[in-house]
Amino acid sequence: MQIALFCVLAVVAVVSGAAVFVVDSMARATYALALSFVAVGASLLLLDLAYLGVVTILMMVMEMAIMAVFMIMFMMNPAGLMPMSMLHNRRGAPAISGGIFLALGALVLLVPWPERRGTVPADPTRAVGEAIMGSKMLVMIGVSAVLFTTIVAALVLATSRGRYGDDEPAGYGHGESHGPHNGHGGGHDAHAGHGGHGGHGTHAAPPAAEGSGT
Amino acid sequence: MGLSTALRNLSGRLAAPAARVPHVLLVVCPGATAVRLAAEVAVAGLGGRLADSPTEADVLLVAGEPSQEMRAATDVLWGQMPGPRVRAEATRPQDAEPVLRALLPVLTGRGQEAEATQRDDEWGRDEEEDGHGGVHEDNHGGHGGEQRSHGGHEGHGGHGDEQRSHDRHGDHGGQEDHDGGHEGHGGMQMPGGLMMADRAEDRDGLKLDVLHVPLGPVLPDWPAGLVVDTVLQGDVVQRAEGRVLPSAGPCPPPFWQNDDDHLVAPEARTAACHLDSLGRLLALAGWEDAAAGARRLRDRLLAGEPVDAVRADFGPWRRRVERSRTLRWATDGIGVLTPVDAARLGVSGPAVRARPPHDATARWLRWLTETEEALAGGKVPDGGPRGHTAPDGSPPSRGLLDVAVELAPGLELSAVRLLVASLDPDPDELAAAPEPGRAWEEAEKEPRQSRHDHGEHRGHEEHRGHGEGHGQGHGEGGHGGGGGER
Amino acid sequence: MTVTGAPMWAVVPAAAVLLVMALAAAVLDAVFDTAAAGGGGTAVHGRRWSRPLVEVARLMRQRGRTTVEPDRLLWRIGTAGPLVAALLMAAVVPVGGTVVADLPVGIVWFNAVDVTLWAAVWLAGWGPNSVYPLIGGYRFVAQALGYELPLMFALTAPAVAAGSLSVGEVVRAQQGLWFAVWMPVAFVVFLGAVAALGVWGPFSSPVGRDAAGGVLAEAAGVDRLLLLTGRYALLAAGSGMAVALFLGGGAGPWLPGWAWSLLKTLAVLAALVALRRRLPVLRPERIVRLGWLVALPAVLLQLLVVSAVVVAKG
Repeated sequence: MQIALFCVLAVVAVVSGAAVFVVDSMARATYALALSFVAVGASLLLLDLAYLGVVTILMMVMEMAIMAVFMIMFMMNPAGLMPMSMLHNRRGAPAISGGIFLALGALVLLVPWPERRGTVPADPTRAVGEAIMGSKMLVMIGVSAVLFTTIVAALVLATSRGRYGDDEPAGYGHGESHGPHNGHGGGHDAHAGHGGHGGHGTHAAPPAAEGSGT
Repeated sequence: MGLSTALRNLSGRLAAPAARVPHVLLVVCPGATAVRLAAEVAVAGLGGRLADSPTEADVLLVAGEPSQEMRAATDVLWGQMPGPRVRAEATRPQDAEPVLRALLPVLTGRGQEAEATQRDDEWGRDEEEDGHGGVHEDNHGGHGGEQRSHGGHEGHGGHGDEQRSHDRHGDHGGQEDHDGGHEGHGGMQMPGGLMMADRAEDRDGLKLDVLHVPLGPVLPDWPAGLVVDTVLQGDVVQRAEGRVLPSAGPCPPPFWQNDDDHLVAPEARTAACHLDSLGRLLALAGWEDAAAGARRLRDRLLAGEPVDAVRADFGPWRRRVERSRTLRWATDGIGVLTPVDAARLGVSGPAVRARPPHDATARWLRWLTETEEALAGGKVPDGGPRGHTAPDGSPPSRGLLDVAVELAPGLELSAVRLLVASLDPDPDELAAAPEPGRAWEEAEKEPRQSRHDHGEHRGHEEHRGHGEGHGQGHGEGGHGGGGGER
Repeated sequence: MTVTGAPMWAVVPAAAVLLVMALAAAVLDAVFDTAAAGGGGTAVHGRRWSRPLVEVARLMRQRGRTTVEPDRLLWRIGTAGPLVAALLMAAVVPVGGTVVADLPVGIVWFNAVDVTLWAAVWLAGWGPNSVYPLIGGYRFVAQALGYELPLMFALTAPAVAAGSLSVGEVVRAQQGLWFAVWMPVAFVVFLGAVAALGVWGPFSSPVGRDAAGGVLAEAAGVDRLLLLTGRYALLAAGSGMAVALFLGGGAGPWLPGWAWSLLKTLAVLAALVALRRRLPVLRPERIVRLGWLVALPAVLLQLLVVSAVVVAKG
């Protein structure tokens, strides 16, 4: 039963991983990758590593949800309306990835895996953690707290201006009232670009004049 | 009993209760404020609710007499309604209720099935597609050939089935609008008649894609017949231009304007007008309860109830709204209109009298104050709820619309909606009056636009005519979804 | 009260209970709806409670919607997503002393399922290839960034206090004193996050009227029914979780455990539903601000207090 389940999950993981390069939509590629990770997380559950498995699913789905937004935002072909190939480096990439896959597969088969000694621990997740971290556990816990605080603090500092200058309403006055006008000017710059009807969306809009909200 | 018979019986059994809560898409024509008010009362009276989108609706009610452009937009919306569906027009306030009442039985009647099978739009195609197990593209293209020449569908046929997955990317719903309304904007023709997105600079220096999305002429809680053509990056408006569709035939004097030959006193009418604006703003801010309260007070005033009685109920309602910190938080900082800019754009009325910081919050607070004053019997300051006529003869709403269009760039869609609602230009005034050329437009608009703005209003409409109607309809429905022309 | 896992077939009654609770939420919403009483109408006031059933009938009869060039597969996934997520959440929520899946990491499971909503709602917005749903989908991701971290730490507090990630253990640890009493901040933040993941009340901008219904703008017929049901079911599952984590689960005098669980869940659900009538909608950027600058520090402090108490008690 477990082996059958593992086989299904393995196939799902590999097939959806391959699907990332087959589909030509960024949304589908992203969520194919997410599905692949979910299958990997689920196979961790089979090892009785409940926490690690569920957390893998949690983190990966979250990551992919954000990655989809960023991919679509930053690609030259935004939102991928054009049929979009997910392939780059058409010759090198298959060679490298195929080679690595074969090497890892060979390792799985060739390495003499140790026999189980003793019994399954009551909490395998804890056992794995102690096996990996050992005496450094306290340090790692401390570091994680510091890292998290740093991330939050950096975000708060970096985004104090908001997405487009002062989106914070507090303390506005006449100064801020000019923001929208600058914005307006910028809009018209872009507009002028349209006026040229340059075609194919390649018209170069002049650099937006706004940016300084105040 | 076959499955289809069983389903039909079930459908019949479901039909009767389904008409008890009709979802009404109310399409208001410029100049038809009185009909709109009557229709809103009628919808609530019949236990219905106003739909957010055509997809949600099963009743399409046109308030007022639609002009050619409005009619085109309405047809697109009609095409987007899933069905069972019914449509009708009410041109006089007293018609609204009987017309709605007469529609409801049709909604549940047997005729719906016949209509559904005869539909010749993408809905009809849909069923066929399901049968074919989703050979979508080919079908689509084939139909283009068979039924009529779908402009955008040429170049589509060779598009293989295996490529189905890629080209339906959400962003590009707006490209439908593009297709309809802004030909020649320079996108690449895409399978399915969609256009490649334009790109433009983001403020962060990135080059991101832009969509051309007209807001209006039909949107929930949106001034009737107003169209704001926007360029969107994500949900941020980068550019906006406003116009009002003309009314069909001669426009009656604006409903809210103070004239003496009306049953309800000018003060009560002004108060009702502000309550109407407040109701719209509150509904957009997502506070349905408070919005419903405003509308109830408005309807009572217009029904001729003694002002004192209404005033007694206005007080508690006002305090509740005024005290809401979350509401202030939602509208704070949106659309700061300094006195200098107000004077430049010819704005008068409550929007000018709003206190510093002159933002949307200040404006709705001002409405509350002036409503109270009007209910207390104070004289209406300018002769009209939105101010007085500008020196160049344009109605007060012209200035308000100019402000909205000027302040919109850089705001998110939700903020733009709140901005427009906090100014609430009245299309009745704009549809009635010819558009005068305005200084800032002359200075800043590109030549094509300014020519239209100077041109006589009619000519403007005719010039962009047909395609535009579709574009607007799509914008309203929110997508390029299946418009009537498709 | 100890919580034990149920046999496999319990999935069916559990799903039924969740759907009934979702319907109850919809009925409560209709009953609280004073807006519908406007205009001096009389037609439906006496039977406001039956409006959800009428709406179900209406949507069952309505056609599904097609748009130009949708991504049907992703749209379908997104449409079914919220309801499926609610069912998966409910699987670890104990009713009285019984739970469908007695996972040792039930709390993390709840969290992981909640995160799949990021994908589901965004896909429901992406699928129809239409402007307003897409904007709604993006709004949800933005608001999720705002509520997710506070939610995680709000979930951590009871887990730390109980010394276990199992929901059953958390319920058992509340004998004597409910966690809501001595970790009120975590409780409030959790309720807020439940409203947010249910796209409800002040957190409903992804389906906002200003975006013509947002994610719901192109959903018709059964698709719309699924999305709306999923939304209420998420609220119900979240309320059930709140009861288990903070309100002592099925603990209570006289009545059997399952009755207490359901009653408490209904009470929390009613509070959440009523929230919608009281507050305007918050824009996503305000939610992120609220989440990161107010809720996150507050819930971290709460966690510090809880940890200190746990350490002090040994």
